[in-house]
Amino acid sequence: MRGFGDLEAVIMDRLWSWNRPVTVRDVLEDLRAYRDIAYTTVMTVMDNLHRKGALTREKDGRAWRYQPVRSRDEYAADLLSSVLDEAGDRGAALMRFVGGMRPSEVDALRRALAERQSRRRRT
Amino acid sequence: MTSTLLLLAFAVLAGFVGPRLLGRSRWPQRSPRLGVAAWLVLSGSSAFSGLLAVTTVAVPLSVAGHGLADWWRACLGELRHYYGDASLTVAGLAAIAAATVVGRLAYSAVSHLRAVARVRRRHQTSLALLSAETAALVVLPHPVPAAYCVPGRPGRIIVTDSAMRALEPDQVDAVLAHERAHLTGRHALLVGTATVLERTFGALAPVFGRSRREVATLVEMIADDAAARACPASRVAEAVLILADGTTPMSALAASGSDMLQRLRRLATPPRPLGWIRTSATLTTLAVGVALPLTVAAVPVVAAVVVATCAHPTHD
Repeated sequence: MRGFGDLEAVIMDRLWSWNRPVTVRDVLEDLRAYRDIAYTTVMTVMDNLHRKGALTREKDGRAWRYQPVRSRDEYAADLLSSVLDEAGDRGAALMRFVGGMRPSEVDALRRALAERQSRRRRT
Repeated sequence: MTSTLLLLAFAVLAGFVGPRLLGRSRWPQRSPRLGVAAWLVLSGSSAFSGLLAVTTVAVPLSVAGHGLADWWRACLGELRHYYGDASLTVAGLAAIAAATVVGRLAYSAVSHLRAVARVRRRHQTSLALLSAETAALVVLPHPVPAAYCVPGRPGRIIVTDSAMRALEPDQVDAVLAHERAHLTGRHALLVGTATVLERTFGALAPVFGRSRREVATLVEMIADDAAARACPASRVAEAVLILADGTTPMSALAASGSDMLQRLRRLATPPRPLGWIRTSATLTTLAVGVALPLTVAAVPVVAAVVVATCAHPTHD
């Protein structure tokens, strides 16, 4: 694991799997089991994530408790829908395995797929 | 004048007749790499020779600015000793033609590159929270089976978890081989080049739109070939069907249909690649296609350079 970007992903991964508000200290103790890391580093990254709108936080005594704004599935769905909805123009920005199709073509392909699968079940 | 007519003839040939001939022939699907080269050469040389020719004809009527006209006259006087009048005028204007071509192309290219970079950057920023930056393959939770790649350094492949479940292991390998072929073959750059040409010259001749669509289809075929090396072509076709199930339908009014049926037909009965004789014959034709307008254009361009360099001493 290198760089801040990776640390963001690691911390988001922890928060998503815990699914409850946690403090910087909680995250730090968990990460310390795998790697040597400073409190200030974790705090900076979590503060960045909060600033980017990925985490919410509320005061609990003297510490902040952080929680993801959206679940991992919701976050991924948002990212993917921007790619999947862009039908037709298979630009050079992202290259999809299967490009946009006309409704009639989608129907034809669905039928072919169903046929193929039923044939495979029979054999 | 002769070179203008020659260039114009070449541009019309490559711009109107070329796409009809090349679009009708079957060989690009047999050797899609060569096909991509052919379409890019055809559209590129049509643009190059066409604008050069058209501008050399069009500019004399519109050179109205006095400053430019004075500069022109001074320059012409200097060189009239060495060259004939008519050929010199045509030659000088070729410099402006070249500048126009380069300017328009550069503008299209830069705006295209910036748009592409913006989409990729936004995508990478969101992706950074979901996976380690160094991961070349990212599996994301989503009910729609889909796979795509984000070109760049490093390129990344994204597959949804539902696609991983719907595909069998050898098909996953095939899909990954397909996407890797896009990344290593710099297919985004090829499609991008065709796109920039279409944006710049698309309204002038049918070759540019056609070239962009054909290049986009042919790079998919190159990638399908890579996939078919990972597992049997019929299994790749099945993977295509599975991933096609999740696509958002285009509007029924969309100008062009997709290339999916072509790709599936090709996977069902893979054509034999061209033999070396036809490959080298095609490469020779392409080389001529590049060299011909360059040679014809070289005469006025050389003269234009002479005009440009003589402008300073005559101005004082």
